[in-house]
Amino acid sequence: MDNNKTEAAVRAPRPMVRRRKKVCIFCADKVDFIDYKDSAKLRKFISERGKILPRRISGTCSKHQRELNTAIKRARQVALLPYVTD
Amino acid sequence: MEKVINSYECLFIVDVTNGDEATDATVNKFMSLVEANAEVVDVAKWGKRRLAYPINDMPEGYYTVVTFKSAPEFPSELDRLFNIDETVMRSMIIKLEYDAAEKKAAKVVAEEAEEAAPAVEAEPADAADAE
Repeated sequence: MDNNKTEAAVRAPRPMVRRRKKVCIFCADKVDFIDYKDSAKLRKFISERGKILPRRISGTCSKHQRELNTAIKRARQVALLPYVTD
Repeated sequence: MEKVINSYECLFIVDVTNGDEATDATVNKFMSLVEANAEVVDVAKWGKRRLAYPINDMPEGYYTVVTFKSAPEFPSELDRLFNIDETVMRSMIIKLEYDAAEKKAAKVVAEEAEEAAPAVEAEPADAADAE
């Protein structure tokens, strides 16, 4: 009985926020290989500072996020994308 | 034992400060090296491009992308030679998980199909106009 009481106290009523489920754009486009040379496309997945956007923002699936990471890091090596921008 | 042949993609950036001729000479030197040791699938010369960040205080470089098929020993040798040549600012060789020649063939087929498709569509449209 006490259990119920504490649970109610801890969980303050929060307004329900309905978020639309994001769909991985690589899955939607049926991309089988993320090309590091396509810097225009990769640019959508980096922040203004040049950081790689997290999955919760970009909405990419786990598999494609891993491939995207490799692609962005490769593009950085050959100066197609910046490591940092100020 | 079966001979191992892999697909590779190599991108290298050549210094442009020594003039166009010197740049071309370096590019051609490595191109002939690749042609001699591997089966070249595709060559893309992007030309002079701005770098996303300066390398050796230089803001520009000449990009070349070569896709080739070779035995696994060749890429490491190529990388060694890239490191020796001082006019090569940056280089990267990656192993492709797919067969480069097959992929290119598929792309050509797809492009041809795309070219053929509008032609087929155009005829019924003309016929409709005539009516």
